[in-house]
Amino acid sequence: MKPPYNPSAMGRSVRRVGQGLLQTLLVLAVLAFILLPILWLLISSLSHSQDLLRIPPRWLPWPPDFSHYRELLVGTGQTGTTLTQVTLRAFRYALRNSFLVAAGVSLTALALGSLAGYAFARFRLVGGAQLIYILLLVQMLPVIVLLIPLYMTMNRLGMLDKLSTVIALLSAYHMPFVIWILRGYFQSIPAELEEAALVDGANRLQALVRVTLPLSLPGLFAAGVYTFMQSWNAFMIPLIFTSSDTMRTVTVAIALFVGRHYTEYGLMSAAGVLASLPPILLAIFFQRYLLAGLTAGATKG
Amino acid sequence: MGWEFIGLGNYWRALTDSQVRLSIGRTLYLAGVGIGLGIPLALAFALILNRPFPLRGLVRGLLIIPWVVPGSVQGLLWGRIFDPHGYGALNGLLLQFGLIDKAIPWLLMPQRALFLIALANLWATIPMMTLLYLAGLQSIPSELHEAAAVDGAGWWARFRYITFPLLLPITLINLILKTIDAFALFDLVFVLTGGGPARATEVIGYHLYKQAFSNLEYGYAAALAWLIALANMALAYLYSRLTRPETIGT
Repeated sequence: MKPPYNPSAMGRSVRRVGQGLLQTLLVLAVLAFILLPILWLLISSLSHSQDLLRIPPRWLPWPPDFSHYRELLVGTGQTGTTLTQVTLRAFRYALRNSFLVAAGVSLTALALGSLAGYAFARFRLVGGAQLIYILLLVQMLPVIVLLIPLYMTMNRLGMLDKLSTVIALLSAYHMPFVIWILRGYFQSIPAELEEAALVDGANRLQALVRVTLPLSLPGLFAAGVYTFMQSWNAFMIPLIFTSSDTMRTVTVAIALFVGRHYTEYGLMSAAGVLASLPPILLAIFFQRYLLAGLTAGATKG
Repeated sequence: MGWEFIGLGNYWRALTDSQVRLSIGRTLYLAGVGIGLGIPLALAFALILNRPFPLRGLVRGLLIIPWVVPGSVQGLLWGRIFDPHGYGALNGLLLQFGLIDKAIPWLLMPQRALFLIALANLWATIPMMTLLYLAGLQSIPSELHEAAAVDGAGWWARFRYITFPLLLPITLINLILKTIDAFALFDLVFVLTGGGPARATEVIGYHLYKQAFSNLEYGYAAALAWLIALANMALAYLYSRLTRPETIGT
């Protein structure tokens, strides 16, 4: 209950300043929760190796030491550490592989997903409503429960340890979401536009490619960025389906790195920062696109 | 490659295995911590970030970061914090302020390791929960708050009787998503503890992985996978009922 108060101008402004201060403190607390853990990783990656083995650690090493990044990206692995050339080489392969996989998966999922999404949006499919719903249910399964038969199949086909297998599996796993998002976009575009193209002699595919797809660019973009991030971060599928150092993706390479060189804190941290950069940058720059698609489901209905 | 048809033998084994029960228990514990601590925290975050303040767009942009850090990097990151040798940030802070005089081996103690995994996982799942709450908050008409304020309702009363009940669907969604998430958790555990010490952090996803890909018990693991899939299907079905009513019953 608010007591009836005498609205003196000064009282009001004092109150407003107090509220502003409280709000600022609360926002800072949220930011600390979100950022401090990742900040410590960043600091570790910029610390001199000796500073990381002090108790308690040096909290703010200055000047920052970029040698771990240099070592990871161009170094030879012979600067008196236990780190082998093998791990460095594997990490660089892994960075490249992750880019190939993430790009491959987004392109595959967009190419196939836009066709499927279009079919769901425009045609009356027998059981279509149920089917798209089942697709979504399947995507909510933990990926491990799908992998055992796939592993046995790929093993018999001799398709283990290939990036193309990883790309195919991840594309299949992320396809339902892409189909779902694109179906929504296609439905929001008036069918009359396509009909005009059809009347002018275009076939369905041309109408899709020339009319509907260009109008759906924001949707394609959101689905593409999301798929890129998710497949960059994928762990289980690349872990199980690849085995040689030249085929690992960066998430798996980091897990193995931690296992092999437990005390190389600086180098490990730098590897972690490099591996997190692409998804973090994508998420920050394209947040508006992503969130529109991701949170729409929760507020509707 | 000879094999023998054993009927429902693998399912029976999965249902009666005490290790399965224990790992499901750990998984539910993760979900429980994620819900018990995560939901109040995410709700508080959303309420804070929903008020106008300078640089709000930037802060909301940063909010999403934990959600997109790869799971294995999360393992590495929390390893840098919970490091047992005293080089980690947590021991470092405690030593710095003289609260302890010897490093505590955080992740090496079974009874504590699972809770720390739950906290680490909470960090990664808070952003999505908060964003869902923020979206929910924006859908509450401001007239409701204004009318209640005119009637003399204070901040708590408005939260108790307007905000909280209207956000209940979102709370349910968060609850289900967090549970599904706990069933899927794998990479963080793989990197941070490897399921140890003494299986204390062997959640169901990790247990399944071990059965299939280290013990090579494909048949048994596939049966277990089916059971987990069914449980998750049920959760996902609940989730979809809450979010997409227009697709049901067509």
